Amino acid sequence: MGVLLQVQGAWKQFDGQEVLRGVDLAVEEGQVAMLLGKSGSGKTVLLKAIAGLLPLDEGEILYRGKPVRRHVRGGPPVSYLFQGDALFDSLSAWDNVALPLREGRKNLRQAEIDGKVSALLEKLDLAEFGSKFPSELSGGMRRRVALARALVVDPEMVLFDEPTTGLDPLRRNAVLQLIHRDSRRFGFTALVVSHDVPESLFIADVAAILDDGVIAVQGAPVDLVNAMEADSPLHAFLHNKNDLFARLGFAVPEADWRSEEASIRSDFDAVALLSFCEDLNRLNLERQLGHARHRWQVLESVRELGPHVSPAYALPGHRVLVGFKGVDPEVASSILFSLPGITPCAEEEAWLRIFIGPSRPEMALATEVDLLQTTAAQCFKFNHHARFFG
Amino acid sequence: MPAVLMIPSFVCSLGRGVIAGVATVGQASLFALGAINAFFSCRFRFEKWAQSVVEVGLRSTPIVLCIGMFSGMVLGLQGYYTLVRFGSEGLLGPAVALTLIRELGPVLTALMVVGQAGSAMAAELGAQRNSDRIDYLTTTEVPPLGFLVGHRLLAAVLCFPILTAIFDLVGILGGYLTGVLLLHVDGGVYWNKLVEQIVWRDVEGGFVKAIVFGLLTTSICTYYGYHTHERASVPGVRGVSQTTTRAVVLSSVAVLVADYIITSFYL
Repeated sequence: MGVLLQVQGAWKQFDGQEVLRGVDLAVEEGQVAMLLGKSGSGKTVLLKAIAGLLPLDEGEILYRGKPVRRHVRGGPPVSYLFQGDALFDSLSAWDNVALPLREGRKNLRQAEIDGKVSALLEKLDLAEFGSKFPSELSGGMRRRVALARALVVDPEMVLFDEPTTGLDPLRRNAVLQLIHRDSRRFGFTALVVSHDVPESLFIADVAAILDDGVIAVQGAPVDLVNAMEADSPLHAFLHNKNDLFARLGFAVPEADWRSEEASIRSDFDAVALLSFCEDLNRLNLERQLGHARHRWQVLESVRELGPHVSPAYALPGHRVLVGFKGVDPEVASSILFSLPGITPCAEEEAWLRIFIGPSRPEMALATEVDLLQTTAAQCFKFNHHARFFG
Repeated sequence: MPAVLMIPSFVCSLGRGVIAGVATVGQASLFALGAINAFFSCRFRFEKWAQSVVEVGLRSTPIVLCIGMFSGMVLGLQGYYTLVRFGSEGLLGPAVALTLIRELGPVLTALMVVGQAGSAMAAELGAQRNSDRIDYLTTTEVPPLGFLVGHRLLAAVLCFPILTAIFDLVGILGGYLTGVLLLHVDGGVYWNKLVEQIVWRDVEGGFVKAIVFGLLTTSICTYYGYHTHERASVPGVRGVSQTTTRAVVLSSVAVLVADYIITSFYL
């Protein structure tokens, strides 16, 4: 994979205030790159400069090695997903998605446009909402419509400007999942601007932190975390490395795993991580439980806890380690304990947090079995699997 | 500070204001030319244009009818009481009609449409600028000026003359109501003198004014709305309201200035 986008020495000032002071950034083809930074740190300015909406005072933006100065028709196939979605209120969701095709210069036939838009809406689970106007859609749906509109022109790169801002935790997860999943599915490179750490790092192949007008650090998320020093800009978002490890769900040091392994193995028959967002969940599992998943049965998602799931995952009487992302044990307990056949067992919460990972309310996950808003790391004994598995 | 010392700074401010105003009109004109040019590279041009005709023309019709009727009625009253002093009340018809067709019709119609449709255009485009929709279009292959502005300008070219004609006709009818039905001027004389005195050049002048006012006001309103992020001193919703107000004020002033210039050529 070669470098798709390169920013070299970008400078930009407004009214004498320097916002960008020599930004260097490189994004390789196929990556999900995350640009992090505090509010007002110039992330959106950089993104708009990349999109050709703002001219730089100095520096250069290269797309496939060719300079981009301002947006021109027929320029680089880059789509921009604006923070506020930028959907046209007077157009239905379908018409919004079709807009760049209908009004573009490719002169596509109506049948082609219809086919392309319908297929995309179908893929993004919006098929039945095509006739709705943006004001009739939820925030998450509007974001998906905006994403569909960005993708309908088959872009090589999509710029996401704070796609999770203003969304509730569930929608935030869903949008991040969308970016992660669809960048693979539709084959685009993503540059995501965000200040949601650590959530956004879950989906990033590479991350950069814009601080004081320059890229302070850049690299793979796990490298950033490992290299995190006391004076790192990451401290603006996270307090300490352990906290970050736990939140990001990066691999717990091998020695720690070994020490926990015996007790977990002896105490539990299965491990479950319940998540609304399957891809995030899977990522999380891979990162946290990488080597553990081969030793225990793992229930990856409540969505998959249907009748088709083999009860071998958890039989009556099995003790199952269940992780819910978040830190609201009371809510989780009250909901879970109200379900038939689930009873709490030993107090294992301390190491469960390490084991399961993220424990922030923002990472709260939803389920389809009234576990919505459950946000605790708890352990439960499933003594009647049939009810729970439907 | 003595008043005499304040004169230079006042003159400077005035000069700056005039230069800024002229510059704005010039920029708006270039903007309008660019928009019309871009419009012809758009697809579905007729649909967009027809929609704008409805927005500018149809929605402004009630207010034009109302203002036209009352303007004509007032002209009928005032004209009668002035003409009757000279024993010339028989000329009420041409007096009302000429005033309306040559002057009041185009000017008042333009001012009404600026208030009704021009402000809406400025506010809508301003809101679209603020919500990144214009930036979105800029990042696509859809020409934003053609997509958002061009059809409105061309709709104004059609709607302003038609609305002006409606205003004139309703105003003449209003003059008839007060002059003939209320003040008992002879109806036959009213219409006969009117037809006698009105020549094509009067009508032509009114239409030329209407077309110029239409282009001028729509250009200014769309220009201010489109560039709300640059023209407003404050961002956000207040910026939109600020640019909308400025657009309406500048359009109104521009109508009167242009009216004087065109009139001086036509007389």
